[in-house]
Amino acid sequence: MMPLWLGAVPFALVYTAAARQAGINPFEIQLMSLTIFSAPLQLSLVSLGVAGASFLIMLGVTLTLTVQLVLYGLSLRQLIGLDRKQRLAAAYFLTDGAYALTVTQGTKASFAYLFGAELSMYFIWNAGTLGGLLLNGGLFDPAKIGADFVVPLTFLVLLVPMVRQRADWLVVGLCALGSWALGGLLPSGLLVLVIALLAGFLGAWLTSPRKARNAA
Amino acid sequence: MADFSQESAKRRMTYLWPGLVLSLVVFGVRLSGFWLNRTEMSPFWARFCRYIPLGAFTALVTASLSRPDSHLWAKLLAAGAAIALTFLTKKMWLGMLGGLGAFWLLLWLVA
Repeated sequence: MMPLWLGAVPFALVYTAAARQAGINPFEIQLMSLTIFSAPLQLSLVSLGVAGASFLIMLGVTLTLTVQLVLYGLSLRQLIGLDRKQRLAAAYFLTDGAYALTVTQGTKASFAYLFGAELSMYFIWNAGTLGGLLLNGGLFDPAKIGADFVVPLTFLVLLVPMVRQRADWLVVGLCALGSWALGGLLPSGLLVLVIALLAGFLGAWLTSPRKARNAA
Repeated sequence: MADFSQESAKRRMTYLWPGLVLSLVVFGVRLSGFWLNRTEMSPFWARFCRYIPLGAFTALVTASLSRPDSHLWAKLLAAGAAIALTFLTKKMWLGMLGGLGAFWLLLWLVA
């Protein structure tokens, strides 16, 4: 979890600085972190607000930046048995990072692990927001210390152990090409959804028993 | 000094209500995947779900590492080091440390 915590704090500071510059009051800045809890979405909404975007545009951006969370919930439900209260609790705090850490647990994944990962990220994100407000939202560029590299690096080292057979290599390779080709065309949430769907269908097809028998 | 002008109040309202409504939308999106009926999946859909994280992680990494960036060359080399370390040692924490260490070392060498 620690790399994800370290990656979250600089972005919380960037968010508070941008929000303060946009004239949003500290209460609303913290409230957005408490209720939305999504760095890319919060930063996007601040930018859209400054540009005078309509609520409909903000709604469209919200859906495209968060749509991959639907697949995460579906994937987690297959992995962990969750009762109604656990589903509600897990859904509120769901993020890319908590999902990534939980699925790598495989059969050892549990609601306790998922919720612990989610709550720790929630605490760090909101503590970072509060810290940024207390520091009066001074300008901070995460790229200067490589903090913007921490999050993709974390996902990369989580991905490596999941690639176990030839089909996995092929899926990852094609998904990387697809992400590179579509990266500039699609918003981030929609890109992740499209590539995740591609991986799902391709991987399921490549590992079908019929395909395995034909290959043998 | 507190600002109770109408303009200030209007600006405050502009962010509060859209923010609260959008937070409900985000919660709905997050909940929707969890709320689908947990019926027994066919083997095809079970294999499909197994590959979702591979696709999602690949997209997140590639999108981040393909943006134009003055440090991109260092990030790509450091990512290669992280992959090699994680693959050879089977320890993710070593891959993380090695990747970050390689990145900072490369930046320091060219600074």
